[in-house]
Amino acid sequence: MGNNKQFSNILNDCLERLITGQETVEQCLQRYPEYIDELEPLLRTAALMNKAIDVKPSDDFRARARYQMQLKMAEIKASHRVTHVVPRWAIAVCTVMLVFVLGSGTILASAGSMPGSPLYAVKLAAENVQVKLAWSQDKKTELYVAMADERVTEMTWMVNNNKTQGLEVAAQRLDSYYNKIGILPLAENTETAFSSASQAAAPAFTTAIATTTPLALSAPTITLASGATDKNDVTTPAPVTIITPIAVAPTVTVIEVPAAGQREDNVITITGNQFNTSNNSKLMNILIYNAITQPEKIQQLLDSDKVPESVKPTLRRALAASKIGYQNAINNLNNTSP
Amino acid sequence: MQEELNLVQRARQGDHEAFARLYETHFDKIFRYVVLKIRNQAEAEDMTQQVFVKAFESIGSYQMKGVPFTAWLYRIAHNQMVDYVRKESKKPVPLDESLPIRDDSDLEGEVETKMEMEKVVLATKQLTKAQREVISLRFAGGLSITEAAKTMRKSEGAIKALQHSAILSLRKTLLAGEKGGE
Repeated sequence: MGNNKQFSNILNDCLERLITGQETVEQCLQRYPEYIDELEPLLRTAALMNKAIDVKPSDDFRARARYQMQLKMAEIKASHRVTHVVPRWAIAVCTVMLVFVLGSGTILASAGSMPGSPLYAVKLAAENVQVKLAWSQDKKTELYVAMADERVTEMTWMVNNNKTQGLEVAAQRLDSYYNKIGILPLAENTETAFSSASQAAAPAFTTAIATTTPLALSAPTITLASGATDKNDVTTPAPVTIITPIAVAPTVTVIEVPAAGQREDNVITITGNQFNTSNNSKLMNILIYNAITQPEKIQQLLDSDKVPESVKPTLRRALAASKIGYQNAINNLNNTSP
Repeated sequence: MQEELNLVQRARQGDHEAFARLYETHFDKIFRYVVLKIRNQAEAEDMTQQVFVKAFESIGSYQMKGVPFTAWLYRIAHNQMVDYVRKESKKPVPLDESLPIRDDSDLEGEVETKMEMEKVVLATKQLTKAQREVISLRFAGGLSITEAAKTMRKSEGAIKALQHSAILSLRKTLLAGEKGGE
């Protein structure tokens, strides 16, 4: 028994080195010449086993899995944040009000409230209820874009009025909306999302997802500068920019949108035939518009001396998330377009 | 080791980047562990993803003073496979059609690898459950004896003994197969 235990230890010592590639079978046998007869057949078998199961996931699977994991992480993060922040009573009140007294005075009054106001919780709850009642993923996306825009407006107001204590929470909410925006269009076409994963700007695994847009979502009209067909007509809001129609494929357009003072890290590349007149065009225009304006507004907050340094990491995360979220949302919506 | 502890600590506190690094460290090994047990590439891919999703969902409640992170992760993988077998009760797809192969091998090498793997995997079917688990954890997962012991809730001595008897049994099965094939 004692010998058997000793041999098990010797075998294990050799296996440890064999499995980790530190030694070959021969090298191990040299260290234990007295056990060579017993050890060799077992080590040969182990080496065969080690070689036979040296399988690796394909690059395609690896990329898909990483992308899916990224989405899952963003989804969980977003759901954790949003659901715990708004008091349940406020959600209950707003649900009843929205269903029975749509447009009631309280809700309308809360719409213009700012953080710190007694009606602010009602405003947040009303927004969440609107999302819950939205009939499609596209509508939900629109609402999240609007909510994100609202949060940025509030944050700007807070900074301008020296009420920065609620900035961190607002920035976290913003981040969670961006996560949702990047994910939601995917929910309607998972297969497309998978197939586009490999080309979707190499989803950096460690970053969150994001997107933003104004609450009263009137999709901005976007008009193409020149050289494109009518179908591709697009108008860009003020700070925007370079539009390069590709001659070979008239339906494919590449726009590089430098935001916030032409900083290179703020460039979002939009590729595809998204500027069409299909049912998705309104959402697409909203996404494109906000892909340009939102990061710029966040960057302005980041550049402000009035914003506490402690809040800036969250703002930076939100900024990164906005770019990835918009990029994903636009890519995904583009892939779902007819 | 200390680096992994730090990553786990950060991941528990909601640091996604830390979790992502843990994911990258363990992804290939978990896949190999699952593939050896399920023997179907598509299912193994799904399962591998599920393992990490589950880990991400549960990392907040993971107790660092209990089992090592690696052992905890492989317990998730093991439990997922138990659930899978229970729910699906699918028969394994023939190895030729399902098993992945090494990316860097040529065609001849691929065939050889598949045949080798087929032999080995078939031989593992003759092992007891505990022996098979030890072999999967040690060879596919690359776990140390200590980690395998924590994963299986057994002593290190017991794991070494199981490993020894498993390789002995594999040897006999493979030899018998060679003789039968002559």
